[in-house]
Amino acid sequence: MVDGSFDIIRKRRIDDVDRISALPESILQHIMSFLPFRDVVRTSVLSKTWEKAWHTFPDIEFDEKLFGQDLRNLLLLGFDELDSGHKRFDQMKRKLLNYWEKVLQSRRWEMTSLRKFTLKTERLSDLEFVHQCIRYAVENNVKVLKLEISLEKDVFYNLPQMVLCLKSITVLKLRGFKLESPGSNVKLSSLRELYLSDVDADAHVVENLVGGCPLIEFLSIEFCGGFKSLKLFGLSKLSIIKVQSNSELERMTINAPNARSMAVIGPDILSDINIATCKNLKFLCLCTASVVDGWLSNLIPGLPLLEGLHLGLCYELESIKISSSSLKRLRISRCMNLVEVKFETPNLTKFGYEGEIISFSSGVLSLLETDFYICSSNIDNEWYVKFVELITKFHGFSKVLNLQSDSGQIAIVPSALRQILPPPLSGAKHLNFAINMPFKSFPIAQVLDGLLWMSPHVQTVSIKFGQDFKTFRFQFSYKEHLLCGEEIKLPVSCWKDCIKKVEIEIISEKMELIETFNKVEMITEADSKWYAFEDELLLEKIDKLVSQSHWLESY
Amino acid sequence: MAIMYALKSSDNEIFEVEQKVIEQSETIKKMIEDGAATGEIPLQVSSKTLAKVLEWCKQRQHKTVENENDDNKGKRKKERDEDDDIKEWENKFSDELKADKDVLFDLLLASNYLDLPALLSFLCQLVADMVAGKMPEEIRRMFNIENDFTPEEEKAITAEHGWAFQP
Repeated sequence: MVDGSFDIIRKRRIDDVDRISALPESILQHIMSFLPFRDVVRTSVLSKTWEKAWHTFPDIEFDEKLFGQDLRNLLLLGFDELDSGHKRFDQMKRKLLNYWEKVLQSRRWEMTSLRKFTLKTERLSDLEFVHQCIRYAVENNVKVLKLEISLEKDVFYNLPQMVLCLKSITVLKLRGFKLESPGSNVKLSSLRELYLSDVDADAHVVENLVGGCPLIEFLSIEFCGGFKSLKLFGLSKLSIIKVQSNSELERMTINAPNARSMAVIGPDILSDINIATCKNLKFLCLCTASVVDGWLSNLIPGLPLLEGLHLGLCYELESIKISSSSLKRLRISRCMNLVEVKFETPNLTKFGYEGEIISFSSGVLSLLETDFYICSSNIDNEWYVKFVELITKFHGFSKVLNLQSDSGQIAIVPSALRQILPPPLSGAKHLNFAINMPFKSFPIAQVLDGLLWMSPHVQTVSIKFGQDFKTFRFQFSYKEHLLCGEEIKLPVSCWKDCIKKVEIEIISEKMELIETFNKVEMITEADSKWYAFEDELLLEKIDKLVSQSHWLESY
Repeated sequence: MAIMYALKSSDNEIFEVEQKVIEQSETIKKMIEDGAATGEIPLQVSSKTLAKVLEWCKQRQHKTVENENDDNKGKRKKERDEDDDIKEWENKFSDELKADKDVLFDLLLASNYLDLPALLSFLCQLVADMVAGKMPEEIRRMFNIENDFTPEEEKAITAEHGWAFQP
């Protein structure tokens, strides 16, 4: 056969033949398992092959949010106080429940096996239906079971005992349930992941539940109530633990010798935390008011593998020493009463700090990246002096220094101070600055001017506005130190005179669009008179450009 | 010295491959363990597809070997670079398959037959990404799926799952 003719035959084959439907059903269902549930259901109408694949698809997700417009209409009716509104609400709720029941029924008929079952309801929680779902999941030996319901305030549904003896379950997620003291022991012998959220149970029940999962690797207990203390022992496989905002929790002891990662977040009354036996922790996040200086200083050296530490909202901390040779990443945020941090962390590579300016003391650090989010209300000359000192120090320690502030004012160091202080970030090539709550008439040129003082002859400056606004990336090219000379002398305020060209790139993260402004070229031909005249315009133009593109396009 | 095996494609082309690379395939691994693999290992996969499969396996192998050899110093930066490289490679691989769906389906069948779970999942994810968010008519057009329902049957299904067909 001639090569060419072979190609033609082949081509026709590609164009005409439905190869996807010829795949084995197991592959079709494998593809479906990567689709959002709405798309899974949509495939049922493609052809009879796909309809059959849907009927035996082992993952079911009943989430009232999927109903989009139908649900929104339902909610509008639900808020209607008139009797007729309630009636229509009930009718629509019945309609949706009927639909779900029908789906379950047809699968019972087909004897479809079950792998994952999810029920997520808020407005539509219906006890009888929840019970029906649980029975179905248990009868079919479900492997991944997620039941997230929400009933009237402070009303909880008792989880049927049979769920806690189901050997097939590997992942269990419960929200909005009440767990009562089990009549028989919990036997979740295959369970690897347990999520409890908004669950009401006493300490004995929680401990019994977790204790009945010998293979548990992942445990998350959040927004639960009913227990003041939590004692978990002998969980040799437990690797990741998250305990968050359990309203009544006061005391916590976790003995998980192989745990790798742990987060303890609130509540403020949690005052007794015993985790020292978790010697293999690599990542630890503590966001709770009760953490005190001495306790922390004792804990850290006992965690020889600790690589990441986050301390947040620890109001009791005042002066701490972080001593760890394994620590690589440290983040301290909003510990309002903290005044001093001592580092003994020779291998730290990333440091993040959020709060007022405080004292940091350390030996030499060689950081790859430092993030400072400075939140201060009183910004005066004295403050600026401290600020400049702080960033000078960390500029020396860190390859990259990122600055963040609420208003951007921190960057506008008063000109009197610029005359006497050395630029804190000299030699930096890139500067990242984020402004979280910019004012409408934001003085971008002043901030840029301040940043260029901090870091003379910086090549790029990125200024990011807000959470999902825009990043302005200024790329500067300079004439050869024309007016500044070889050495940077005080006062360094001549950056405007040295700039040859500014390129501004505006990155809109929300839209994921990149618009590059055609080089705002301020100076085209080398002409000394031209510089001085254009310099003022340069700032004006940047101001205008930024305010226009920032505000007009965002709204 | 790495142990080499000879794989024979369905159109009689021979591929010399390192043991470590082809042992990612549970099917071939079993054949080797059972001693069925003396000399050439015959496979029901065309040479074109097999070449593509091996391209994938070598990339995966490369990745795992490098991770093993890494010492801790400077690992994070290196890992990030490597992750970027792998991402880039995978994107290119995906783009080629999206452009030639015939190869994509040959590869799907081959990864199923050779029992390569990572490749199979990667390809299923790729197809899922192509399907996600599209309406049935678009999906049918994309893959030449013949609608063998009567209009009444189709209407009944669409009505039953009405919520899923809202744009």
